[in-house]
Amino acid sequence: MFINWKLRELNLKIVYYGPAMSGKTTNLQFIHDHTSPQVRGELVSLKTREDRTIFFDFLQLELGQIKGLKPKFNLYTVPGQVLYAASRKLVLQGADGVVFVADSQISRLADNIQSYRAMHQHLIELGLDPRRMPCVIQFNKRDLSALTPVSLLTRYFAVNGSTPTFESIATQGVGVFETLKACINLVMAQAQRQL
Amino acid sequence: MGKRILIVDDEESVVFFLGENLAELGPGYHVETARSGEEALTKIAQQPFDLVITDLRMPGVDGLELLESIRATDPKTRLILMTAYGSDRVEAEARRLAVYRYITKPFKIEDLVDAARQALGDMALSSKGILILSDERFEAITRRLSDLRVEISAQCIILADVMGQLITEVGITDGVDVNMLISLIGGGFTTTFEMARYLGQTQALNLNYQEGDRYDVYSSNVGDNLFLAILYSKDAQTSRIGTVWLYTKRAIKDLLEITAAVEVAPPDQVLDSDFGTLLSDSLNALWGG
Repeated sequence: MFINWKLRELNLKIVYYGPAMSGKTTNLQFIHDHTSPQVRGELVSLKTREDRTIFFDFLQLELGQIKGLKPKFNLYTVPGQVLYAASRKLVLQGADGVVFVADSQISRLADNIQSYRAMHQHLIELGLDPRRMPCVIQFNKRDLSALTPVSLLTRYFAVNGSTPTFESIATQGVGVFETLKACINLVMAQAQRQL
Repeated sequence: MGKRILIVDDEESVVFFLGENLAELGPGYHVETARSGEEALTKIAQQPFDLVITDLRMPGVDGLELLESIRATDPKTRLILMTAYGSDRVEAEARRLAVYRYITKPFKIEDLVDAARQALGDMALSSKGILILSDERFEAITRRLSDLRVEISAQCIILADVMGQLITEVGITDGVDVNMLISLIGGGFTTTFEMARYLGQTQALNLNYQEGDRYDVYSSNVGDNLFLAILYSKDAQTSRIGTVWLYTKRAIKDLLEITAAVEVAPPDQVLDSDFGTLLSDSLNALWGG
């Protein structure tokens, strides 16, 4: 969290983390496409020839002034491909909140678990306490067949019971804004709880 | 005061061996040992440690119980757990307790020393808060960067922190994705800062230069937390390395003086108590809900 005093801007960094092709970029794409151009910037993407995220996607949202401060949300995705572990850690640096996007297909359960564990490890290595990091879990692709039951996903990924979870179909926008709003609210709640 | 490390193991030879090797981290590190979980807790109660390295299986208070007690009182302490008896349950517990490294025996001593060094090095990145920058200070920074830009005829100069947050920019940044540039350069600096810490250097200056066909890019750290990125577009400007270094070093000295007394405060000291509620209302107005 950073305040640019000259411009009276409050900057928050929220990172969408998850395994390859779980729908992180699709979340940002939907937010970009369904938010007023007055509020959002361009969606910046670095992609491979196969159209996969290579470094990160970036989208900035800027709200009007609240109490003399203009909130700016910097949304990032991490590359899901196994190759880019170093980039994933780098993008997590300075994150104020994390959205973990899990692929609900049963065939991807092991990838989800591995990615979630790696995220925890990266946070710890960056000096961030995963238990204190505001985190929202999104169970994406709920429109597909052969899905992992939500109860099982919750047991794996929402371990402390108070972690907000959302079922989503990011391609249709279902659960996309709810997830982001919950993450922003968690970040603010934590910021105002800190002593 | 240097970083404090506590090694806990019931085997005397292990404690001695690890203590001897970790002492080689350098004069900035103070290493103590304990032969049981109980002795470790007594020492921690007397004075906290930055890093605790413990064995899992010990008579009395075992490694996990020790780490649980430490976590309950101090979330900032780095923890490394060593064990010859790894299991999914122990690994899950280690994750729950935010253990920095989980190392299975047998391991190479170099790996443990590296893990300790990284654990303590990363701590510098862990302080979170809001940079308190007065208008006067912010203007002084921007003015100094503008002067530097004129002195070295650069396209733009960006000041950011290593966490990837832009502080300010001067000059023309059209066609440059500033946030991406900051992330890339900042990532490089976390490595060089770690190197400086490893070598025990408290006032290291890193000057990096990349010559390309479209841009020349110079970057340099400003103290431990900030860095400068200087861009030249090949179409419009020519950079001379010696001149850039000379003037940049002078500017860094001035920037360090300007930012010397800058504080970092927890967000709650800066934001009004109802800020979060009003923000939530704004988001609902924007996206519904």
